Amino acid sequence: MIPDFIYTGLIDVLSYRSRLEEDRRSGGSKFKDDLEGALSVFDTVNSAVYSVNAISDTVILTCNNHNNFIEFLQILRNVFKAFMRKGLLIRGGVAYSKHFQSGRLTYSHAVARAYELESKVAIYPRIVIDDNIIQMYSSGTGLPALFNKGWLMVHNGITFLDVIEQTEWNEYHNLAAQIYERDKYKLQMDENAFSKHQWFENYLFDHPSANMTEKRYIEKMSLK
Amino acid sequence: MAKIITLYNNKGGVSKTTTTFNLAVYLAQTGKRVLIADCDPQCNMTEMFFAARTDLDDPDSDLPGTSIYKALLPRFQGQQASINQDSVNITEHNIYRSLFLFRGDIEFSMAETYLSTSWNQAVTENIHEKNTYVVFYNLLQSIAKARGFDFVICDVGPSTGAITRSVILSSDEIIIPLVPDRFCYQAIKLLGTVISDWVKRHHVISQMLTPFGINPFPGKPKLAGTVLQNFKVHAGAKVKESYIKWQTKISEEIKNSLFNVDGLQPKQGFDVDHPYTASIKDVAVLAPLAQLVGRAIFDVQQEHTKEASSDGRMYYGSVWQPWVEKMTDYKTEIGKLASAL
Repeated sequence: MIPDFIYTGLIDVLSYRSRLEEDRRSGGSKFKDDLEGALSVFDTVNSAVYSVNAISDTVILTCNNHNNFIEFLQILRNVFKAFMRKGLLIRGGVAYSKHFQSGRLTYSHAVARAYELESKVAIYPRIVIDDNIIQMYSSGTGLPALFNKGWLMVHNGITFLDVIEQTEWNEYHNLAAQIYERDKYKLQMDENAFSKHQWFENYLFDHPSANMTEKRYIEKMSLK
Repeated sequence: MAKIITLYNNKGGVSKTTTTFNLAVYLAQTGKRVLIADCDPQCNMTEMFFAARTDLDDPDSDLPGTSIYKALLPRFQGQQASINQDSVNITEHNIYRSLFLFRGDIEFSMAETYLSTSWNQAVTENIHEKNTYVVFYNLLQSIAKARGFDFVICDVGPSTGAITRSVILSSDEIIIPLVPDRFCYQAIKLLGTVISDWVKRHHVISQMLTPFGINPFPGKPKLAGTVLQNFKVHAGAKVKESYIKWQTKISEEIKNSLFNVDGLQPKQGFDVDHPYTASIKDVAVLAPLAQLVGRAIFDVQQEHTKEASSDGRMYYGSVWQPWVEKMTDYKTEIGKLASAL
């Protein structure tokens, strides 16, 4: 068994269970339709380089070529936007390591590491890039010029993919505000879920492209 | 490309440092540019190298040049992915031209932890540990390339620890100094297995470097020669017999245990049936005297004998002549080692 070395992006759809429960209670398929719509972003990717597997709340995207890493990140940016346009926040991790896939067997250090990043490091709606990838591109030879793109942001030592294009800030702001408005009553007393919206709002307003004439959409703290 | 050489035996007291220094001087005197890297935290080589400099007698004075530990520290601490050779100052010997030192450091013992961790972790996706794993080899090679060295000769301690392992795997060739005794015999039995394990593990680690854009280094040293140190041979027949017995046993062990297809291999030209490349006789007081005056054993001058005589007089005539003969013999044997490289 000769393993390949691949990039893996492991994406988790936030609020998956509650959206699924809504479909079950309503007898509808709104959430299913939204998921299908969001996942259609993968329809045009080159299957010789990328593979996509979606099961339950998890999407695993792999890229088997160093030369395509920048494009891989662009796909992940598109994925983030596609899910937000369907009213869904996602979070994820991107790792690079050994990976073997044959028939029913998937044996992957890369997926394991990406899962670790998604579940333990990302926390909020963002796609975290493994620090080993950052170091690899800082010191390795023959690799694409990752840092020229300006697609990486860092906060508290964690590097994550900047998904907002300069011209798209307003759209992201509107989408985030709509998702928050839709969910805000469900967020009451749920600090864990609420903190994800708060983080995203801070990300929007910390962003270099932020339109500071726009208002924050999450209510400020107030006196009782 | 410079050749990295290490004289190595995990058994101590076999004259590694002395032989290394003398070999380095010999090579420098025969027109080679030679860098000695003192990779032993005991720093005996550094002491020997600076012994001829009176300006460094103050024990608290800073020694010239960048120490090996200070040079590598930014990598160990993750501040730099690799070490730029420009940041390393090396020192030329004050007597021997073309002989330079990358000096040792007592604190280099702390590198055991860093290098040991990288040995264990470089197979994972951890880039920091991968960079640490290759840093020693890359630094020596980049210094050698930029400054035109023909040889980098490393001095290591008698251990199988992480520093020694990094040095041996970074070496193109090794020379094993030996004394004919029980423990050297046992050391030879062990060395084959130890180096074989290192080379195999290095191969596994190397496979995990290339996909991450990090170039692995060869990591497969060859045995260029051995040097038998007979410095305790006495005239008594019984003792001599014992030495011959161990020489024979060690020869057999070199042939039967030392080499491994996946481990240490003899360099082309190394005769496994007659494994002693050089055989150094007892040089008696010449060794400590040479060390005292900071010279090669074969390059002690008549005036230095003042230091050896009880009345402070220089040796002449029939007293000096045996010294000359010993130095000539010694140089001949060191020359054999140099020819094997």
